[in-house]
Amino acid sequence: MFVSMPEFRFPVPAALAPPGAAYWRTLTTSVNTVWYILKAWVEVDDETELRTMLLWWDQDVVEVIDQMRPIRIESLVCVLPRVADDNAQGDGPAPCVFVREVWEAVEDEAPTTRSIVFIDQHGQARSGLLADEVVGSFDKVRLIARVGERRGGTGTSAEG
Amino acid sequence: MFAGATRYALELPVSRGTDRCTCFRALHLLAGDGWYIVDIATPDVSPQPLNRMVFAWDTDLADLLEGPSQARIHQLTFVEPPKAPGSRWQCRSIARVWRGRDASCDGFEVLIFETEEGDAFCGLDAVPLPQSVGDLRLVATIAAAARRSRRSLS
Repeated sequence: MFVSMPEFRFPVPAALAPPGAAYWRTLTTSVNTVWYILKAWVEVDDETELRTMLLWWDQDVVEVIDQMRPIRIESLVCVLPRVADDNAQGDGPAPCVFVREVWEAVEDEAPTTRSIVFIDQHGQARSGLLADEVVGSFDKVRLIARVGERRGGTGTSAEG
Repeated sequence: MFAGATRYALELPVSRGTDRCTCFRALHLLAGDGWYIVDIATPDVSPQPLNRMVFAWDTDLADLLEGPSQARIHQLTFVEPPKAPGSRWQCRSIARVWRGRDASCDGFEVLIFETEEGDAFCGLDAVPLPQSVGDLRLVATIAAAARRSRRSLS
């Protein structure tokens, strides 16, 4: 979860903001698990705009995609958790995995449970709180989204 | 700037000492600018879980870097927005942060981020370091990234 801190709230007059919206310059995170960056074109009032969201749960990725019904997903990135190890030699920027497809799936090890599986840029399936590589076999039940594929829409394009 | 919506908020019980804090499952990122991910180590245990923070403003980040937490900063990443339609976000590892003055703007103070690759930029849209910026003062060194870096502004 992204956790707000009162000292970093950016005050926006209520009349200028959508109902219930709050603006933050900085947030911290509550647990060290994977989260997602989704960038997608959506249709709003007969125009298209580009929206970027940070999402914590894989279920929210699916919910947002299903509800927003984006015209095209420009990118979906998994930001992987990291553990600091004094013996580690190679670090680098926050490890990110670029997602190519999102599927609702059933894994052979848990046939009664639906899980969300992300296919990354290398064709590797990933799932779970740490976006671990899926080792066992699984059945793809429903394609949630394919990055870069146009779903269809109307109106003019305006980058938001 | 990050925007949280009520529908994605989870209010924490006040009794747990977290009054006025809100948990969000989802945030909107406004304006399409770049932003920062900071991984801060918790002391005493190795391997240690990292506390991760996201920053929209470089000035807030500079306050953190100049404070007592600097030594515990494990990694600083600048998330650079795509520069062209269809291109990807880029995650850039920051090795050093500097303050400088821009002579073309009456000596206005700017923050400069130096990547592991030796590139330097200012601002949330990652403008390459202008030649008019000088009087550099080192704010912070991210130790692991600096060891891997190819060159330095100094």
